[in-house]
Amino acid sequence: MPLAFAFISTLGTVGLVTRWLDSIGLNLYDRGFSLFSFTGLCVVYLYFQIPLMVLVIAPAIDGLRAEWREAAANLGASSLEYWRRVGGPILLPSILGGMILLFGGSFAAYATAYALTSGHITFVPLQIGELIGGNVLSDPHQGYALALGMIVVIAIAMTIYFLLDRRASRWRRGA
Amino acid sequence: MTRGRLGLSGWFWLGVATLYFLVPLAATAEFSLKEVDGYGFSSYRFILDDPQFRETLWQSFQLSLLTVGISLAIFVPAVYWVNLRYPGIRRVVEFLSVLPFVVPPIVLIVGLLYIYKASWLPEWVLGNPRYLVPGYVVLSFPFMYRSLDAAFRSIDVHTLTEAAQSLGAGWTTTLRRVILPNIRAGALSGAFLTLALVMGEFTMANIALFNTFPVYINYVGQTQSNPAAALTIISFGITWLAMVGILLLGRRPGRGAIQVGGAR
Repeated sequence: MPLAFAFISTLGTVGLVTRWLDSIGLNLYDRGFSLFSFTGLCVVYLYFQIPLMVLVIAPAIDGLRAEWREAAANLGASSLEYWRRVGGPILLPSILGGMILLFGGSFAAYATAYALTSGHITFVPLQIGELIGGNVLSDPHQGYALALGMIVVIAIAMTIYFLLDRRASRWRRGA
Repeated sequence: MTRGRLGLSGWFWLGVATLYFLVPLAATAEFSLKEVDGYGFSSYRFILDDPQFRETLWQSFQLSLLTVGISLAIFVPAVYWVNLRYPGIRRVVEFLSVLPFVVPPIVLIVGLLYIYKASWLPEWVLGNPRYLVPGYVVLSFPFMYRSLDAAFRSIDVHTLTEAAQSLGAGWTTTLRRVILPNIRAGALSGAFLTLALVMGEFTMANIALFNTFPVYINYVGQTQSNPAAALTIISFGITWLAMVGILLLGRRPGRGAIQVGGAR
């Protein structure tokens, strides 16, 4: 929630960065950018998603052993080939797993979207809130149905995550 | 492989990331100090003078304390028991502890409201913000479990329990005077995480129509922009204090901690 207001002070219509870019001749809002749009929300979500991704990926990168790189080099692989054939495939499950976690986080985010869009763009969590809360339009049963839909999506995402995690942990053992 | 050296592009990306993470904070600080002409602390004064600020902060703080208390009372014995008697169900508990983290809070509150509606609870319970606490205890489970489990794994639960019992201690005495002092750091870090979680919880409080601190932040944000920036800085300050608390506690081992069984 406070994060939304931090970004309004930064990239909002009179935000610090907006004013600064305007003064050097680049008016973001004339060029179609808006913090209160889909793109704007993505910029804000990244602020809390990047640290999460770092936390998820760091153990996997730590698990890359120097020996593998040396072995690849001994066999004549260039740096690019090493990443494409060895490092990349080993990291891939962790990266995909991290992506699914971030997906879940953005999918469920409510507070930031609520503060920034105030209902201009409809997201599932906001929609459920409208239907359940004391709104005139309230139709709780439709809300329950949407909530169940969210659970199904999250369950699928988590199943994929667990499968990928099991695959990724094969290389982590004893590292 | 060369290690520990940051190349030019490394420094460049580090700089970009630092800017991305620091600029919004700086912008908020600038915005909060802005006045009609020049800079000053009037936004901060506005917030601190607003009776709603104190009321909602106190409200959220009370909810946090209640959540921390209940959550510790449930999870300390539970994690103790899992570590002592049923290490076999650790995987199950671990899976359960992930659930509140992945199930969207909006879904949790929808379910909670439905249960309350279907139950025989009287009106006055439903009108009291404390009815959010059961939901918050569920939300705190992953954080509490992880902190406590790490603490329990680092001590020798069996030896400590057997030693206490052979000296004639009952279960409550064992838990209170032997186990608790040894897992103090873990319990406190779980408590601080829960505190920060409840202090910042917006979704459930907003749907259930209670005026907690985050709901108040949103209200100010929709109505007055400069005080909202000041309030943002204040609430970041609260979160950071909780984090510093955890760091300090993590560095210092519990005063009464006993090392059992020599080198480990």
